[in-house]
Amino acid sequence: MIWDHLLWSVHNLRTRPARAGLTVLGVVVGVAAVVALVSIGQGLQRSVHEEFRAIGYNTVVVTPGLASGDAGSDALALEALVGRFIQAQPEATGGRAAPFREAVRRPVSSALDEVRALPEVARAGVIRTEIAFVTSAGMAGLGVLHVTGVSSGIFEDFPGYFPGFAVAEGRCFRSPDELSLVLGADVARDLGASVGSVVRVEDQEFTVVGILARTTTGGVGVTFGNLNLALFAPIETVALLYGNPDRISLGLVEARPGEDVNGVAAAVRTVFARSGIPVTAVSTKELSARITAVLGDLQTTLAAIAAVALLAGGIGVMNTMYTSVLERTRHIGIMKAVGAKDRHVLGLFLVESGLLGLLGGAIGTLAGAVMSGVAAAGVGRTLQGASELTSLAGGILPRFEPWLILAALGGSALLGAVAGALPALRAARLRPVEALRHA
Amino acid sequence: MTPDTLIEVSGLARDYRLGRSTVPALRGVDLRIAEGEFVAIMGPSGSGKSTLLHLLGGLDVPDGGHVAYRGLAISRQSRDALAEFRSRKVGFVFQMFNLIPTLTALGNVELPLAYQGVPRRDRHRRAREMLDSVGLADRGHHRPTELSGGEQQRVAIARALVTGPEVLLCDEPTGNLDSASGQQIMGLLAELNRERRITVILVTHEPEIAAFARRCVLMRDGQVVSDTGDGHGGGR
Ligand SMILES: Nc1ncnc2c1ncn2[C@@H]1O[C@H](COP(=O)(O)OP(=O)(O)OP(=O)(O)O)[C@@H](O)[C@H]1O
Ligand SMILES: [Mg+2]
Repeated sequence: MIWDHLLWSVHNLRTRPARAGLTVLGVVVGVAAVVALVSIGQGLQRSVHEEFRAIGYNTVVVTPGLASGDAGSDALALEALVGRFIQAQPEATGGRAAPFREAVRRPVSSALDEVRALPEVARAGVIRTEIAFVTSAGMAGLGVLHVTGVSSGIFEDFPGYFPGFAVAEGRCFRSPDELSLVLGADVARDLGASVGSVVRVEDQEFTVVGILARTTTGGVGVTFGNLNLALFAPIETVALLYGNPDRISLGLVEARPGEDVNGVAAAVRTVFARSGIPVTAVSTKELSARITAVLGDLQTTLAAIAAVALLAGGIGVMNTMYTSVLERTRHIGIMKAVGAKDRHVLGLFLVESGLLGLLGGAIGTLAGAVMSGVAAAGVGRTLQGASELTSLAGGILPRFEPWLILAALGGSALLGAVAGALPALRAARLRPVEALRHA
Repeated sequence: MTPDTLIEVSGLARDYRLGRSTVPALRGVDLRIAEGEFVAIMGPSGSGKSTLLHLLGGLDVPDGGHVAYRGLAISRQSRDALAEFRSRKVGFVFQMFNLIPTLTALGNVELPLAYQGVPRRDRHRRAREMLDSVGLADRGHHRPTELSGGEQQRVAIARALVTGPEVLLCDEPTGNLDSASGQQIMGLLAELNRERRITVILVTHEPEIAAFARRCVLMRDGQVVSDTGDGHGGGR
């Protein structure tokens, strides 16, 4: 019987193609919006997860901030990371750093040495980012760039944080205080610099010792960001240049296998606190989970808004079905006269409205896929903060999990059937004689 | 030997409510129809003929009295049971043909079988045979609008017969037809009654149509005012 309903429904819908089309369109809009939002959200979550996984889940992320180790400081770290993540700023804590509570302020580098000496720590590294005014012989005028001070060995120790990092020409740093620079491909091009060139950062002359290979690998902001725009210097050189040797932008500490990452985080906090550097230290696992949760909430909210469009689509289906029942009142009378039961009539109209929903769902899913592809490209570009990197492979790829597609199709068929329930019930309850008298 | 009583109606009443007033369409109808009869119901417009026919076929429920089919009170049945009754026992033929315009002749004839759960293949074969038996073998794929009135009514008769009903209820089946087509339809009904022993109850205004029946029930103002038979297979 369901097959008969289906065949007859298709037949009925085809006799009123314009009406059916418009009704389906109403569902398409809602489904497309939901599918697009959810798939982008899924892609985003996936990227966050992938990037943290590349850094390593046995790693502690250190950010400047309160060093008390309470939940509030974790929240701050989260905020800092989410802030980075959304604004694509290399540094986002701004004036949040608490006033130093200890008189003794020691350089970051000594704290780092202490952390490295901890038995439960495998490796550790820090970076410090500053705004730099840069001039070079190969370029007229002045460039404003971010200079990133890196602790020695960080590129080898945490390759996951610098995806796509490769020295194309020259070498990396040899000592933590040499006056050397390693340039991203775009920076080198813009400065007209090559290995051996002299580049002035602020008023200090530096020698370019290495140039990075151009990369197309990008991320959603958890990792370093656009290496093509990077200007690396040893961290102690940056400290000498800018002062405040206790400043830190980000630290990464990898626990030894088998060690408790949270214990490592606590130890790291203590070490930095002793050095008068207030920091927050949170495991990547924790951060990933929290960012994912925040994204999940965001996604739920957006999907709920999109669901309003779905509701409108459902009302469209209901309207069409009421019209259809009214129009076919006499047919319903005939069906009943030749032996149709209430449930036969009910089934026919439910299948018909379900079919409208399903059609809307199928087309909506396709439309949503196209929309999310276009939108993700845009969002990816914004997150990168660099219009050049349009080919970021690792950006946000919308994800279409099988469950999303099944849910979209099943849900829209259900939406149609639910929207058609009242009209179908009305049809089923019609008294045969009255239905037959209908014009 | 007297044939078995097929339908027995007693004290049948049906009121239509129109706002505050009630229109009594049937006011205590008593009637007995035996198996195999061919009965014409006549009477002026508004006398309650269609109302009676609908009640006999379980298409409507009475406000008073009861309809018994083979001794079973169908007027007390559930909606589903009534649908089942219409599906298995009754075939309706209407003045307006009442074919579904979007379906082909075959589709229309198959419809009652679908509600009986007959498999698609059997349905198709039986509908074909039935169309064949009313002389429309080559019209199966035509839509109602592509058929003449007489042809449409023959499709409607095929649809009424396809389930093998015991009784055909015809409400002015020739009312929309020219007299030649009307005669053809009546010939068909008479043959069904004679050869296949199907009980035929027919509402008509026209005496020459009523002449095909062996018994004539005359109605006026919702009551039976004369009856040429007594429900024992008699009549002329
Ligand atoms: N649905 C209805 N609502 C209100 N009144 C109705 C309804 N159906 C029938 N009636 C009234 O009931 C009475 C009997 O109607 P019915 O259709 O049975 O008459 P009929 O004998 O078949 O007439 P005709 O020969 O014109 O078909 C009429 O007065 C009619 O107006
Ligand atoms: Mg009538």
